[in-house]
Amino acid sequence: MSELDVRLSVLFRAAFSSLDEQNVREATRDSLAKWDSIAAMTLLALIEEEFGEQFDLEEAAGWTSYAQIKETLEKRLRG
Amino acid sequence: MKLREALELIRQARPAGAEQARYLLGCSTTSTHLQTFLQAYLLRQRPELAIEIEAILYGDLLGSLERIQPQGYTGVTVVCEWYDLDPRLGFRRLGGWAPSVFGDIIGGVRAGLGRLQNAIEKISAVVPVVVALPTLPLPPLEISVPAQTVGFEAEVWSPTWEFARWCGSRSGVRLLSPAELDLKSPSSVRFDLRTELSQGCPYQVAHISALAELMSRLLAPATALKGLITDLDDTLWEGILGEVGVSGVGFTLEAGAQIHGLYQQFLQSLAERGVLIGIASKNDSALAEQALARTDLLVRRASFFPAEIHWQPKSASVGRILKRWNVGPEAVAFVDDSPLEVAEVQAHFPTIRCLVFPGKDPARLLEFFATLREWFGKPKIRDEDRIRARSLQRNATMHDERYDPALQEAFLAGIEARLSFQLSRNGNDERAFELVNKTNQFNLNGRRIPEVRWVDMLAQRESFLLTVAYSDKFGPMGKIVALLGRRVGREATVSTWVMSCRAFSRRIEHATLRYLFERLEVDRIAFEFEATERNIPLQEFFAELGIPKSAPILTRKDFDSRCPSLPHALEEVPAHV
Repeated sequence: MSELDVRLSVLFRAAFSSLDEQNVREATRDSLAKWDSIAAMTLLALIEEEFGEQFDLEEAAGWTSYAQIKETLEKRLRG
Repeated sequence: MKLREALELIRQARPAGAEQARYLLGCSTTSTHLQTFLQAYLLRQRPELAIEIEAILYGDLLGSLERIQPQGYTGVTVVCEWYDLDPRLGFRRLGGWAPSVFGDIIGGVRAGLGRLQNAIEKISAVVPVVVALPTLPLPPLEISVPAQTVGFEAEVWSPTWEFARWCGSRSGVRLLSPAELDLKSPSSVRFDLRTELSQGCPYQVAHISALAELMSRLLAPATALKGLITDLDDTLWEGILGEVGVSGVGFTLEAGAQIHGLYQQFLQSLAERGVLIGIASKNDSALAEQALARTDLLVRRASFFPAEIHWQPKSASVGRILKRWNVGPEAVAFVDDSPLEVAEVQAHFPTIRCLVFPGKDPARLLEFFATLREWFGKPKIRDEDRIRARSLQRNATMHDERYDPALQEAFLAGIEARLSFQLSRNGNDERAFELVNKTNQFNLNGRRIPEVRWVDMLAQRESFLLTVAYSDKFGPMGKIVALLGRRVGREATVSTWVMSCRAFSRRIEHATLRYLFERLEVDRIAFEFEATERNIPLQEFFAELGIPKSAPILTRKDFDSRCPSLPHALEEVPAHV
């Protein structure tokens, strides 16, 4: 598990209490009933706080899975 | 605290059967994060409780506060931003920023503050209300250079400060300090127009955290310490008295010792608020008394009681002072310039709060004062607080005077004791609540009552709260007894009974029972008694009246036959039971 995975999975588990370490990386908006607009807001705030980056809110509103967010973060952190 | 930490804290399991505490968050924006942070900070302060935060309707602060029924809440917090007073002072409504509408906006702000004040007045009669003045900047209505405040801004703040003044004077209302918020959350990093426009949340997360932390400290304030024990040399004044003499110790700007003068002023201020101030100094007693008698000292000699000045260990002095004050070390702070002395005292009294005086470093003095404010700060200073120190000193004198038991009857008859009874179901009696939650010795069972249960208990029809205030020729003591109970038919059950240790040996406890028998017209009183390590005075009183600990019930007949003479003059404020 990469360092990014470790940090991101902690945030996912903070936002969605039902996730455990095994299934966190498979998380998608469709598979998580609690991934509503409020949870999305919380997840965005957690990611911005952890990585010190601000994201376009429209772009963030389109996030639908752990994998997609990880890819976005990788691109952003590579600069 | 970060958002992740807040969420993790909330997820942690609460103790089984934890008491429920419900708070209302009066914030008109999307307040998810504020709810999260407020819950987390309250849980950190009160881990024994199950905390629930309820939010009001989005976009309607004033209407929501006007409609709420406060009885179900432990506390209410109000975050009032400019747009709550007039929507044109926000970014989500377009109503014009031209000078032609300024007068109308000011009128809207005044009207909004009036509604807010009325709503808070009603709520605070039932539960504590924490109020935050606008924390976000005004939108750019004025076209002036940002460095300059011009007419509109000054005018809009004017009624707001009037409102703040009202909040500060109102019992039950706790105004969040804008200065403290400025320290925790600089105004430049509070507002987020991006999330305001897209999500209806105008706050940056760090600002939300700061706001929630301060609100939680006002909603669930820590118990204030009762006493401070201070050193003299290089603490109360600069210099070693034995070396420089009485006139050689300094505490002024001219002497290069201003921080000691500032400390003296601070101590005098604490003393006048009822904090006990004692002295523990290794010094020549006669010389120290001469220095303490200097008329240019910023703290009066009479503000210190007792003064332990000799060459014995500081821990021994602290032990004797605690005994004279009749308080535990956990309720006291110890200040000394010597880390060694501090360590010695701390080793003997692990729960005492110790502070090293900042010595010659003025930069650390503000931090030192801030710590003391944190330890001694109370939401409101009551008359009882102000007279506590004086009555303790009087007590010391009285104990000496009445040492011969044969003289006690005559002594008690001659002190012109007066008792004032108040029987009610007043859940907003902050002094009674404080007494119940800090008194250890004359305490029926040692139970503490969280704010959340206090109001609920008194809401029951058969419940009553009896408080007793005391005065005698030496002066008033204020409210010194709180007793909670239930009356059913001809029997009363007392679930909580505390009396301040300052009021011992005046037969106030006997008079309290007599009042209960007579006023409630009951034949028996049952007590929910539990022995604790510290309620020995209560146990001794039970033994005196022959109340068995295993079946703690007292009949009126037994009481009448065992009660000594009661010399008090009695008065009663209107009853509500």
